[in-house]
Amino acid sequence: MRLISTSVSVAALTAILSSFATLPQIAFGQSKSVLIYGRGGDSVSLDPAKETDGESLNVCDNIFDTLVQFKDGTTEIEPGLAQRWDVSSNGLTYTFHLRQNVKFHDGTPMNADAVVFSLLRQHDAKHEAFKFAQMWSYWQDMGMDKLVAAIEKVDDKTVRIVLKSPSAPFLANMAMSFASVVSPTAVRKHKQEFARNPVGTGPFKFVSWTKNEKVVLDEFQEFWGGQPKLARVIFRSYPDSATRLNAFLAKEIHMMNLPTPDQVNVIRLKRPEAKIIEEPAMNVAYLAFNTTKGPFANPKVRQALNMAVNKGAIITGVYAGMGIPAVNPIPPSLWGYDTTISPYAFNQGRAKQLLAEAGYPKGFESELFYLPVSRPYMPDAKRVAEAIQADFKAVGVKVQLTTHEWAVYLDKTKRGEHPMALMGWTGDNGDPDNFLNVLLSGDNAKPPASNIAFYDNQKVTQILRDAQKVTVQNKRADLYRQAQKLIHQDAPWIPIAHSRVAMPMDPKVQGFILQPNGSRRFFRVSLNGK
Amino acid sequence: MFVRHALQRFISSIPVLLLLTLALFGALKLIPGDIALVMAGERATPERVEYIRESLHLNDPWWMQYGLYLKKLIFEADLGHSLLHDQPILTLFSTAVPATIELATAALLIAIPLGLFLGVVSAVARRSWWDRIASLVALTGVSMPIFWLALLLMWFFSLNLGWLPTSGRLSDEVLFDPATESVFRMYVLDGLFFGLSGRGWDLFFSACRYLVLPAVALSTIPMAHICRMTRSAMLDVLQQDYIRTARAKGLSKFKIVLKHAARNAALPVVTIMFLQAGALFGGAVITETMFAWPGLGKLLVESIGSRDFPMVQSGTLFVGVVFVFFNLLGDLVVGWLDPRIKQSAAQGRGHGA
Amino acid sequence: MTAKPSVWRLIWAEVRANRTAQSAIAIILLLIIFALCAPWLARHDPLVLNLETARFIPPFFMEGGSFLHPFGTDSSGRDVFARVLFGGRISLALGFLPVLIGAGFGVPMGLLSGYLGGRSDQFLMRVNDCLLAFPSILLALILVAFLGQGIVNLMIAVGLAYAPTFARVSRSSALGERNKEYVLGAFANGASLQRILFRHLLPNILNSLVVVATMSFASALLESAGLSFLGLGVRPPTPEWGAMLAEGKADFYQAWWTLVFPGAAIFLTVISLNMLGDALRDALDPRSERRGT
Repeated sequence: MRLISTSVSVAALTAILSSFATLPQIAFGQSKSVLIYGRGGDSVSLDPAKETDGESLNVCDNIFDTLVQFKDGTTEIEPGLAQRWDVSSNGLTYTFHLRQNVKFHDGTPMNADAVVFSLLRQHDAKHEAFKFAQMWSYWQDMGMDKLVAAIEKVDDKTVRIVLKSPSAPFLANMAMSFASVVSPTAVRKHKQEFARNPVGTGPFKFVSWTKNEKVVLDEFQEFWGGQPKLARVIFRSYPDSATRLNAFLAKEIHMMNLPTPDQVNVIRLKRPEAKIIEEPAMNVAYLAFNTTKGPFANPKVRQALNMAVNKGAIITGVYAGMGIPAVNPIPPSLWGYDTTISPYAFNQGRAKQLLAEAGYPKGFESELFYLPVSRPYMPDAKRVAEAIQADFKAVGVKVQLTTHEWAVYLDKTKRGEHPMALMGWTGDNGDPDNFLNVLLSGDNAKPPASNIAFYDNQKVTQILRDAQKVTVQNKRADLYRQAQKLIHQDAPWIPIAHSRVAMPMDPKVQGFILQPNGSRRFFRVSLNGK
Repeated sequence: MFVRHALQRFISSIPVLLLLTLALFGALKLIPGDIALVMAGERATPERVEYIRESLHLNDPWWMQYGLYLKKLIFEADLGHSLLHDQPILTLFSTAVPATIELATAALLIAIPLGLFLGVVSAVARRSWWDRIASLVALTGVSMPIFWLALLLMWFFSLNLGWLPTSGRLSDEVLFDPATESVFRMYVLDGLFFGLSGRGWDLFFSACRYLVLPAVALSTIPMAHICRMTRSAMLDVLQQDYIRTARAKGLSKFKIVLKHAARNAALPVVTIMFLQAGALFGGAVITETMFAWPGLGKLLVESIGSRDFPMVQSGTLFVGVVFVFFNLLGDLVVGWLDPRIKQSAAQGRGHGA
Repeated sequence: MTAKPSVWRLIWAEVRANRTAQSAIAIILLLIIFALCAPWLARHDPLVLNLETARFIPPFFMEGGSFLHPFGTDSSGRDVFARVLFGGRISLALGFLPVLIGAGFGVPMGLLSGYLGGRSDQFLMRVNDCLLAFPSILLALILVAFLGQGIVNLMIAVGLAYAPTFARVSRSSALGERNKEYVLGAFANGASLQRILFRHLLPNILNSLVVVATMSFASALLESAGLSFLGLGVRPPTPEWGAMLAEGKADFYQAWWTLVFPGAAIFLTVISLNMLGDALRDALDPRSERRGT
């Protein structure tokens, strides 16, 4: 008995010791230019066509490229993987001429086959890679499945996409993450697991992903746009925002994503040398009335409640001044914004009158859903909800506040379980269509709805459809202004705020610009002094 | 003889575990909300939802589903597929569980010696200052909301003094890729391994630094419980006749404590040590969240909120199994220490932590 | 009848002798009084917001503070003192009621199990072990997910987690008492099961139950705070100490008082309850169940 156990231990020890000789050397403490970016949740997956959440796409945007891309810090289109493109006179055919000598991270060439593969896998149910995702969310959401007639390779350097009807936002849509070009070789090799082993053409290549901890990307030295200035980027997850703040204050991370306005003030106080850049974001935060339920089917009720809310107080107290009260569903920075619409003035007396006129002299009881997470458009939904609850109470409407985990919250609101819900939206492509059509068109008012007010005004819906087909921007702007006027009258929402987004950074970080669509790009970023 | 007893106890825990799986399965089935709809995600179509229902056998009668679940669990070690993370649960566990083990072990390594020491000291020096302080410390341990403590620790040691990092498991400065290079998936052990094999001690020290605060925070509760139990057990024993006899014989206090008292006081103390160990597994939830420690507790909380039912099921089952296992182990150790206890298997022992 | 002195006598004797018990009781009584008199003591409505002018006012002993808001205000301009007082009502209820629920389920089960013995005992204890195997916080989390957010559901969830403890204790005591003369006598006289359990056994095991109840009160309070902290339980804007801690955590740097005062309140209450529990245990049962508390 003794002999056996001793021999076993000796054998084990020998095995361990001998394995030392064969393991590769690791170098510690080498000085490399490594940027550590602190964010909230972890990515869901790293396939840009599968996911819709910011945490996934923020990482993907550094790994992949699209045919056309947004110029840094703007929503203007510039060449990406396509050097130039032609549009046929009837607006139905787009021909993209691809850049030459671009390689994927796995060494395979980027060509027309790759582009067609990347897009067709989302579009054609018979495509070999179609089944690798349960749903190609954005492709369907942006209406591409109904819009695109064909995606074809013309030759190795040219791709043609034919549409069923002209679409003004189409090109801008092609700059969105879902239209990224992925390596067919890698997809064929990893199949579903491609989402955890992404291979693209972008400035950074995927190294590793420790779930709920970090994603590590290394520079791709053969990037077609030049060499990145960072050797490595690490995306660290801190779901608890206080912990994230602590990490930034303790200098453990170089950048801190989505601080709340209060946290920005704390950083100014506690770490004054930190750089904080701020931008008005292309977003909107709103309260959606479920116009199919009870009192909210009555426009007078909705208008009355619009008058009951003190938006100024919310901006001061919850947004800490980092934002402006919203009047329309689109932010003023967007073309097509109607500056002539005057907001519902804050007047609780008038609100009570209107409610009485609508048949609710004593008010009524209801429920307000609020988000459990901090979003760029609404850093603290709970406090916004509490403020609105207090305002409503003053006009006789008593609401109970409810929340659910984020995934469940999205599910429930899309199915219309809410009488009222807080929500928001960050624009993807700088086009008003991206806001108004997705959020307020009758076409999107069937569960699972992106129009969670379930607002269905035939006139508005038709205007929005027409505006997609028109190509002259001025004319489109007119149409959108018409739509905004109608929407304002119907008041399916209480538009709350357009926030400003801030990014606190270590003073060593250079070259980082906030993108209006919430994307995070590290190509031009460098760490000074390293 | 002992082996037979052990086997007996082991076999008798199986019905408990089965009951646990059934209870979990039943409870989750009863939760309102369509699991297929949640799984289908944000932009689901009715066809998609139906497809998912079919592939998950959700349209089958419940006992068939349960049978299938059991079969997969026992014969294929298939814990299911996480909806939230879109990965096999076993994969997620393979990183999360070692993380919790590391944290729990560290916490116990602090809690047990400290708890024992304080407990013994306060029992031996009853009603003295030592006793009062130790009792107060133990009392504080069970009374302090752990999230409060975590914040205070973080604030004091990380932000004020800058000695320790605020959260996470490893510094990003250390060039170590856990996904491919970790042998134990416990960075402290990996660090030891690396250090002993000549590849530098950076990993080890870094891992230790990150472990300190969460381990200290987590250790307060078990330490308090162990201290109090040790104290009361020792007090009980010290009052016994044979102790007085020993003192009358002239044996030194120290010897008395070590040789006679300790052995007899050991039983309830050992029991509670094992209970606490088992409880730490599921109970480290808040600590893991506060310190961004990617362990099982954190995984479970996220999954419960996100209605990730397969994960909740498997995760809770795992925690339950661990608890039962530690319970069993504790009983066996106690039985080994004192043959008299083995016989009275029906006697209740311990309680929830 | 048994020859043991009544529970209350013992308690009174201990309180008279033990200083710790005295301070503990004093603190608890004070807290209860504060909670009950909240509407008169608090000068502000705990729910009234003031986003524009009253955010983050410091407590009275700091610069910028005053007795208008003795504990300062929180991030929405609400008075912290009022919220702590009103929150106390809820937090205390969240400690007390789950104990009643747990006892309500656990004691009858334990008594029955201990008295009957044999197969039913084994079976019931298996079920009990099952419940015990759930770490209570997870059990509570799942139950709240099942039942939905809200105070009542939180109380049920936390309460059920304590039932096994009461069951075990009742069972052990029942096992010890069931062969005593008064029990056998009652049985011989044809008393029903119910009568035996509740009129004869129960009063004699009150000793241990009181101790368990006190300790459970403390830990139920702590656990409810933890769950509220995680976002389950009370709906905003209802004040509750644990929920206040969750909010205060985010505001720590700007307004440490929003975190420290509710935290201190929890700590003080729980530690007093635990001290009381210790003293009670020393009084009522010096040699008894020193298991794990």
